[in-house]
Amino acid sequence: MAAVHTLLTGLAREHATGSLNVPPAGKAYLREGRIAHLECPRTPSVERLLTAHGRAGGYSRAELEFCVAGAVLDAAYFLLPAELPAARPKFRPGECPRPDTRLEFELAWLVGECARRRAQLAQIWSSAELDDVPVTPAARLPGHRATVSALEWEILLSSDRVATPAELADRLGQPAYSVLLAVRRLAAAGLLVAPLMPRRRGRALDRAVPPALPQSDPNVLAAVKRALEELE
Amino acid sequence: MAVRLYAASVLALDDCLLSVMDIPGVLDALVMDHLSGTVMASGGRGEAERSAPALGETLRVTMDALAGATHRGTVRIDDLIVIADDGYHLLHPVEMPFDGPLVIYVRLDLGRANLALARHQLSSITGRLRG
Repeated sequence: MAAVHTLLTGLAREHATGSLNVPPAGKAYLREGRIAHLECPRTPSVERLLTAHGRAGGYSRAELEFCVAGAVLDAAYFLLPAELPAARPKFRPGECPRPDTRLEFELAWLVGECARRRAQLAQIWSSAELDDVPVTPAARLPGHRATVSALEWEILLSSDRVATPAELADRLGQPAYSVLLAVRRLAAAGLLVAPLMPRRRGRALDRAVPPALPQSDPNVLAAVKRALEELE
Repeated sequence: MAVRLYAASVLALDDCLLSVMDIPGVLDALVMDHLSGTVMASGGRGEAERSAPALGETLRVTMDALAGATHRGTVRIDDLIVIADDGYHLLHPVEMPFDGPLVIYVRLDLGRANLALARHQLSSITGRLRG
């Protein structure tokens, strides 16, 4: 079965401009053969990443661009290797992302970066068994002392033993890959356990629509959208 | 000296790298995301790019070790400086709105560079990133 990135590689070679919708994996936007934006329901959007931290506007150009690049890389990790559905996805020539930040990414760079990230994840903790189940902290430390990063601390603190890593990523406004990396590190350190009542196998993996999430402040969201439009 | 800009149009980070490359005595420079290890831009002889994952790990391990070594138990690093036989190695973390930190790495010539001046220039360059 072919992956999304093989289809995109063909479009990139033709210097295509437009959008490729691949439900439920996500949507890709190209501008003259380069990736203008990627969306994936498993990963928080740029707006979500920026509004989750409650700062109304006031982002510098570098911060906004770093944020957009982070969101595109995050979506790429899950969207590019996804299998193409049986029905050929629709390409809409000329369709631009909204808001259009005018940033562009080389597809080959994104594909290479995804491979590196996959290897990095496997190196930390080779098992994927905790990737899609509720994050469940261990009741006791498996030793006397442990060191955690800022993000690992946030994950442990916001775990309700129901939310999966992808759901915590959205709640915390952090890239899904970063949360997965932290979960693997916590698992390797013995700070997480397999939940007692795992969800039905595959359910979290296949879910295309994320569950209801805490709403972003509409004023903050509007300010962020304006800032992104002004990146041009 | 060669400058490679990966995401190709993440303009502000490209500008940042170009400013870093102007610091007197620079041999190599990198702009990377610490958590994922993604290199956003790099310049110099191209050796820094290959060592990016190890540089990120060096910063992480140092943070862990210092957190354990201080009486407070938590640590915030402004600059990690290693003086080696092949130059001064500087790792400078920059907080971002989410994820990150963004890390600027620079290797400086032992003979030509002024470490204090380089630190000062690096802080003012990264200060502009947030302003």
